[in-house]
Amino acid sequence: MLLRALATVVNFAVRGAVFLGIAVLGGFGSAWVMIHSGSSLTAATEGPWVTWTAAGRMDADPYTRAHTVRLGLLPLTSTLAMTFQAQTDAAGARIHSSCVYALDVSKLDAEWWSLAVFDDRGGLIRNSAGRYAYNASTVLRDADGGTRIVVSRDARAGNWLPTAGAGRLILSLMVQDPRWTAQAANGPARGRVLPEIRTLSCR
Amino acid sequence: MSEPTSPHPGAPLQQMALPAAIRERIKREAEKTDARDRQRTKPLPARLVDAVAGLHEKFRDRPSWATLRKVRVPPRVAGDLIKRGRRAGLSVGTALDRLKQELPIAKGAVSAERSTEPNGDVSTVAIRTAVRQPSIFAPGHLLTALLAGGVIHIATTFAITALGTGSAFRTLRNVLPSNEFVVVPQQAPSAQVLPYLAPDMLYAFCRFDLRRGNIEITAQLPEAGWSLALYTRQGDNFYATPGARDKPTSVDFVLGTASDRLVDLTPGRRRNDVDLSHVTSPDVEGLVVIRAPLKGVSYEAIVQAQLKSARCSPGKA
Repeated sequence: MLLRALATVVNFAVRGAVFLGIAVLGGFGSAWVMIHSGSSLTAATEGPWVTWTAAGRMDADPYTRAHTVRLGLLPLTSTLAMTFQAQTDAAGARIHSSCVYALDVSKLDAEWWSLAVFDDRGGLIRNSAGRYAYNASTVLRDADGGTRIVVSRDARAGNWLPTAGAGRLILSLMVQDPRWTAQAANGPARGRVLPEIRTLSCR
Repeated sequence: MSEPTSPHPGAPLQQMALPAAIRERIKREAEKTDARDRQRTKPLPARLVDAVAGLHEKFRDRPSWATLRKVRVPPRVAGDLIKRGRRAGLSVGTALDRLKQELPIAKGAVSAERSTEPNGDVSTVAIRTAVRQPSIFAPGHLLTALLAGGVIHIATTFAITALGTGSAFRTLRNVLPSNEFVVVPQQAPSAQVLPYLAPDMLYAFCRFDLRRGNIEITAQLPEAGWSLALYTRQGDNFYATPGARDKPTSVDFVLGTASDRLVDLTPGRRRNDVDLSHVTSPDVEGLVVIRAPLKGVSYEAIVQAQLKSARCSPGKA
């Protein structure tokens, strides 16, 4: 009798665990992935750069709206400006403050752009230089016309974005130019101008 | 001529005085259903029954704890006892596993149901055996779990937007006065207003509240990179004007709700000397944000002064 009762309890426990696993974890987990990371339905990917295609728009899908609310964002409508975020380098490795990265932004021909580095929670990284971003006006151009930004922990000559010891990083590129964003709606054109994130070295 | 029927349809069959032919027929039906039941229900394996019986015997005459405490056991015997205990534990676990697999089939519910033949005779006792499916992996269970998961997925997605917890409006609502522009200092680690806000820009925020009437918004966007944007509480950007490269852009409009516009409460509708364009807000509350790019530290004072000239104030009726 006791064994039967035990077996019944075990049976119900197994059933309940499988049900909860599929329903609760599956439901919450899939929602979290769709809201946090996006999918091909809501976000466009160009190399390591990801942009939410309907960000800020009134007709945005529920996932994009939930993404905006959850992260506390105020995006400009994607017909006027686009924000690209990268969490990995060109090879697919996670961007980390222990490595040195180089970005060639010379092909970025928008009226206004701004490249900033954040920690993985969207916070600015404290550094002695007080430097958190470069934009179309503040970036220095090389003598040969090239424009390169180095993201690293230690000071570098030229356009240097400090990362201190922040750990995992997120690079955020905001482009504000209606003409550029209209052209960038075409994926291949966008891919030609977005800067490649090359890893130069790691500790 | 039909055979007699029970005067009480619900009465047990044993209490009825039925003719011999009918009783014989019922007996045959019962034998048939018994045979069918034996085929459909799966008996417990003999080995399992033996295992359970063995366990029962093994544990029936176990000594009491009080007796065991008095016993001094040599190390070798203790080791042997531990081994036996492990084996017994393994046997119990195995028996539980087997029971878990077999019990749901063995306990298939058997229900008796009395039916009436077309000619009205009470003749057949139909025994129906419902053999329960034992597993969570039955298609019905999986489908139910998947459907429940889908409902949770959709509810979570819409709840995040509806509740607005963590939204930019919720963050700024308590620190911004209503219907007034506030120029915030340049973004820095110690003074970051919102996550992922571009740090090389200066921002002016106005939390608008249209419950007491329209708002008049006036601003100058001197060059490219500047923008003025209106947001709902959920962060939907329902209006935006960018600065132009060649000349400054003047922004001057009345912000109101759709109902105000319907009853012509906006100044431009009622006064000929006022010519303002009108923007309809889908929400009674929200944010106006002016973004001003910083070309360098030396520009900060100039940009701040330009931002402070912006107005977000109750409209003149």
